[in-house]
Amino acid sequence: MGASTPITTRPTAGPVMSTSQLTSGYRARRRPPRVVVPAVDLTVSAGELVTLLGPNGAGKSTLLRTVSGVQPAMSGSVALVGDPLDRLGRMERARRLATVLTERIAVGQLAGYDLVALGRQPHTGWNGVLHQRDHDIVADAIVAVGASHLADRDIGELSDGERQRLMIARAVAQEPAVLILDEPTAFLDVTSRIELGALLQRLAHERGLGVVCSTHDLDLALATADTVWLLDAEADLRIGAPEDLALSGAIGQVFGTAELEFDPERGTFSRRPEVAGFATVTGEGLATRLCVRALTRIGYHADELPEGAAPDVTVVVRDRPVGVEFLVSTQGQNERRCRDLRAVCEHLRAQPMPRTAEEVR
Amino acid sequence: MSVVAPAPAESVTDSPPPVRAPDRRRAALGMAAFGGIALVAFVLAIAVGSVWIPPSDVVSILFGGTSEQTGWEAIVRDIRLPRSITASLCGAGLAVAGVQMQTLFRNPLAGPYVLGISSGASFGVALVVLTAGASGTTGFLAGLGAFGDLGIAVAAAAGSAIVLSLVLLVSRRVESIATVLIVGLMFGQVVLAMTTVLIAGAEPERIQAYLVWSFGSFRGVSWDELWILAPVVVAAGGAVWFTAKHLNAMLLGERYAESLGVDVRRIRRITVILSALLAGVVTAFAGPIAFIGVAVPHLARATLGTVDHRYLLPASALGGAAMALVAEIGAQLPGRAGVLPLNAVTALIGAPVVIWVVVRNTRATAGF
Repeated sequence: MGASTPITTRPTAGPVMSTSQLTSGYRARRRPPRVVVPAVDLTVSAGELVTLLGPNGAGKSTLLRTVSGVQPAMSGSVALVGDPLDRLGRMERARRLATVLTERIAVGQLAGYDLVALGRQPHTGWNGVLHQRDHDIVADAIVAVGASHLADRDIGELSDGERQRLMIARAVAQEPAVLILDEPTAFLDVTSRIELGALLQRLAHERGLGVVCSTHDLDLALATADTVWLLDAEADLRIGAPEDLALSGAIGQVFGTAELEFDPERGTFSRRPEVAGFATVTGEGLATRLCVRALTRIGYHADELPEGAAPDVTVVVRDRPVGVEFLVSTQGQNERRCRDLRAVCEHLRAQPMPRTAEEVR
Repeated sequence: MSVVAPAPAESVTDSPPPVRAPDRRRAALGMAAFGGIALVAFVLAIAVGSVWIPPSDVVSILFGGTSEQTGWEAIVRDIRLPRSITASLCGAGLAVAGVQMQTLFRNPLAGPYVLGISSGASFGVALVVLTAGASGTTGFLAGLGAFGDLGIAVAAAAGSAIVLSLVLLVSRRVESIATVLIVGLMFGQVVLAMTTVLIAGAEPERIQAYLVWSFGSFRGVSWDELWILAPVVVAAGGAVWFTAKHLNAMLLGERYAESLGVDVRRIRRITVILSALLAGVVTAFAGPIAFIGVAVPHLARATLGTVDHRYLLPASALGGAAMALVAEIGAQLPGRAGVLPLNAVTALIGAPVVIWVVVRNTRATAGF
């Protein structure tokens, strides 16, 4: 049996979920209703990985709870594979939409396989007996998320990343058309986060799932998403490919602050230096690039010198048989030979900073 | 770069081991062990008492034979068989209710009595035993005669039903299950306080009678009363079996259960009512029996190695029956010198066993 081919076939194109003028928020007794995200039209197609991006408190979770039917919409509607969400029964909804939540699950004495098998509940009879087809789907889902080695482990003894992986397998075993994940990276370490991004991309592109994943992890979103739903603090929603939103400056606007500057080309934020000088680094290879990085970190403009500017510091990177060597010269001082970048930084920090930030800009 | 044709990332590493469902032999063995212990304890519990009746005679009498000793048949039929059946039913009912509460509240310390069932029952019984009838010692005896065992059972059932209704009423308006737990505990405390007030104003003989009830006992339940106890425990326990699938989903928390298509509010309501029915009827006939309902589910999880309710529920029922029967045997140990308070014996025998199992198998604590 080809383990990596999905057992069920899904439509490979066309919307699996759409909203029309959907307003999410809260109605509480004896309090005025509170709109969190007003009137939005959203579409998720089969095979599309959507990342819902926004700062904490922008209303990401509220929006996701509303599109998955956990929380009633204040107005507007959600359609799930063609049918209005509020007309679907609980079981039918669970067959079309699966959810992975932020919360950690606290169970032991439960094997990874059994956890994933819980995903079959919307498809099984009153006592949840699994037939051969259910077992095939469970095994397939476990293989799909790369968790074969976790199948007979007790989930109480797994790491957060491993458990998250099994929770996603459980969602896949539900055979949904739409997979919704609320902050799946919250408890994960760097490696697990990157692996998770790759996994979600595979599930969307290879299995045709419509995946919606909320996160405030900008790197992950920009590196993997087909579409970004960008929600700013005023609940204004902007939609586009990650690069579109970088180009239009939307991401810089939403996440940038007085201290943070968005670099659209790299897709990363950097701290605006407070005091700085100009530096030139000459040399080749990785050591040179890392040297530029180190100088940037301690406040030098080391990348490309503006026209006509004279460097305050020059560093020559030389590859010697005994190892890399950095020759640092500052204005009016003798050349200093450093064996590593730590020594370079220490030396430069001891010098007075030649210019103010305004001058550099 | 190698010349090998590019393969999908997953198959670059050696092919993953085949994924198979974990086998359930351990669960089946554990269940069989609980059943075996329960069966042996059932016979032994009939054998022990003020007169020792050899187990072989017990078995032959149970299967309709006769014994050489006149009177043994009557003892077995009229006193000890009902006692053993009562112990089995009560142990099973409490253990099943304990599993339900621990899963519902996702709390290892939860048990059949967390929602105030035993406090309600205690208050009902206290009201009848401590205040009914005329004042004076003769009044107490008259009161006991008027109400009798069945009267006490009715009072206990009414008390627990009232507390449970209040808890249900409040919990309908409450979103969070943790709040329901707190409400249950608070109601329990209020009712307990009222019972304390009753005790403070009662005569010593009546307090003595109330205390004896609160020790718990499987003795003195007649065949007529068994005809009430047995159908309720069997029917409620059977109904719990039908919720096993949804209880499994509830292990992941209410939000995950919801996402798997479970009607969480409905399962919550059904679970509370069924567990209250089980704990209520047991308490009505046997008094507030502590420990079994909290301990047996942990014992069962650790033994079976799974939290799957389709195994956990029947295993806990068998384990609960076994522990109740063993406790009853322990209570009879003094022989002619009398009996020990049941609640003391359940804890004295049960606590070391549970500590041993849970510490040896540390996962059991995570397991719940």
